[in-house]
Amino acid sequence: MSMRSQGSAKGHEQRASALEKQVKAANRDLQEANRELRNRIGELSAIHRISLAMRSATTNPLHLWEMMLEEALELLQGSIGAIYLADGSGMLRVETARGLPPETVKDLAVPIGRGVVGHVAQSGEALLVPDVRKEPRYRELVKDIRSEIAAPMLGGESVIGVINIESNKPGAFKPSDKELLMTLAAHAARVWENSMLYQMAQQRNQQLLESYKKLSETQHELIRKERLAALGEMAAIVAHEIRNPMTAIRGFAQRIGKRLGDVATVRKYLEIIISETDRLGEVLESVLEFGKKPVIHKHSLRIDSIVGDALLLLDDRIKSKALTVRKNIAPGLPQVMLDEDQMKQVIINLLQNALDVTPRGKAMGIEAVKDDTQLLIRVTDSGTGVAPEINEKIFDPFFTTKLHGTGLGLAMAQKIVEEHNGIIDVANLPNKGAAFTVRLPLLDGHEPGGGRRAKA
Amino acid sequence: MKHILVVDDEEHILTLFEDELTDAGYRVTTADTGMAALRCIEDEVPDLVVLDIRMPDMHGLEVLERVRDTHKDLPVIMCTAVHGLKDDYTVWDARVSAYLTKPIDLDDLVYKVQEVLEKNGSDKDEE
Repeated sequence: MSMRSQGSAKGHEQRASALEKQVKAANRDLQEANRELRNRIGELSAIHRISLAMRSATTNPLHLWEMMLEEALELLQGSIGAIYLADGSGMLRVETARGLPPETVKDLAVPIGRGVVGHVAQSGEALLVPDVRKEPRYRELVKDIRSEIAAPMLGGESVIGVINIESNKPGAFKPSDKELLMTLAAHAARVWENSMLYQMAQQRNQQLLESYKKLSETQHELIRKERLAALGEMAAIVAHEIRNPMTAIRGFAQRIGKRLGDVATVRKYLEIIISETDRLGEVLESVLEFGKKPVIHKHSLRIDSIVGDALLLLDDRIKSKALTVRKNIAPGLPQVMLDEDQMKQVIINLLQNALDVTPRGKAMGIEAVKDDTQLLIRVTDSGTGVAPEINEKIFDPFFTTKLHGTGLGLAMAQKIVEEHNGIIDVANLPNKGAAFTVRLPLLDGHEPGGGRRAKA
Repeated sequence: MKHILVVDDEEHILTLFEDELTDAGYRVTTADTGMAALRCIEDEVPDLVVLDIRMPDMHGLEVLERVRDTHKDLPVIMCTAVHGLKDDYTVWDARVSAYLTKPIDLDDLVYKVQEVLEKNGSDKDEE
């Protein structure tokens, strides 16, 4: 028993010192781990700061690189740091550096393959050299450098540059430092790439803006010239319509002046003057009318009454040319919302045109039918049809194939039909002649011509 | 008495020119289409033709061409409505004796007719 108690006292001591040693060891481990953790936190914070700064670095990567170098030098406890960029001719040039005198930096260039930096650029892999003096292939240009660590900046498949940290103490860097530097290098590369892309985008944008501006100006010029040309054309046509009546009015007035005694002749001349003046008035009205926006008052109407009125108005002229009018108003046509006067004007115009081109004794036609979505009013003639090249122009204002007339009839008709949400078109008939068709929608939401308007 | 053929598709213009030229001492016949004009000339060659540029069936220039085919020396006064067109007709200057631009002044009409007839008459005398 005494042996045990004696042994236990010594044992206690031994055990206590062993325990103390364990605790001390554990403590050291803990402190080590703590330090490690703090390092890690420092690195992560640095990376975080850099990430945040990256957002605004599109236009000037250099600032960010400087910042990265600062952080790297601090974290890794290096004395010299530099970021090199490949210049495309096989050389790496310093873009930014810390810890080096400016004169050295200016001329500092490393061929790809030489030294630590050149080697990293060539291999595309990061390198940690604990002591450059011990490895002749990495002998550096700067004196007193012992440890070196470099990581490649990769842009796509190629190496765009190298980030390089040096220390004058050998073995200053750990493998985890190499990893940190690789992370920074990746960020630096990304920043550079982004700024390149951004610059390209800016340039492209600028070019596009300039092209657009030029195009826009050209387009405006063209439109202006076209409009002027069209106006010139229109003016010429209207002028003709005005000059003839002027010749007549002036001439007859002159002659009246010379023969005031001859009442019968004077009266005849005066009548001609009045009718020519009225003609001028009509020309003026049709030109002015065309310029205005048509006022539309729509009522629900039957088409056959409008057609009937129109035919009645032209009856004399039809009879004087001995023309046959084939009339076909389908039974049971629904009433349509129409402005009576305007639509009558359209039909009269179409009938008049048919009347003008149909040879004496031949036939012209007017029909009103419906299909699922539209009401069709078609006027046909036995003329020579419409030449394909004027198919488009025929509805243009001031376009006319006639000698007289302002060419506004069809243009006005189109305007009116469009105010009724309809369309008007022309097509040649198989056996000679042309057909002008007015298509008016029957129900809301339907476009004439068969298409359905997309629901809003 | 000299014979003048007036060609224009507008009835009032024909009346106007016919009355005025008749008063000026000429015998006047009229035609309102290109074909009618050519027929008139075939029937009886006038001493002068007053020709409008636009006709319902053919262009005034075409009428001129056809007239020149058979009657090289027949004097023709062309009535144009658009000033600019005159420049296009430099080609035709040799074949057109004179131009009248619309709106036509009656005094100009009579004056030009007289002038052309005199010139043509004196040319004929020289032959």
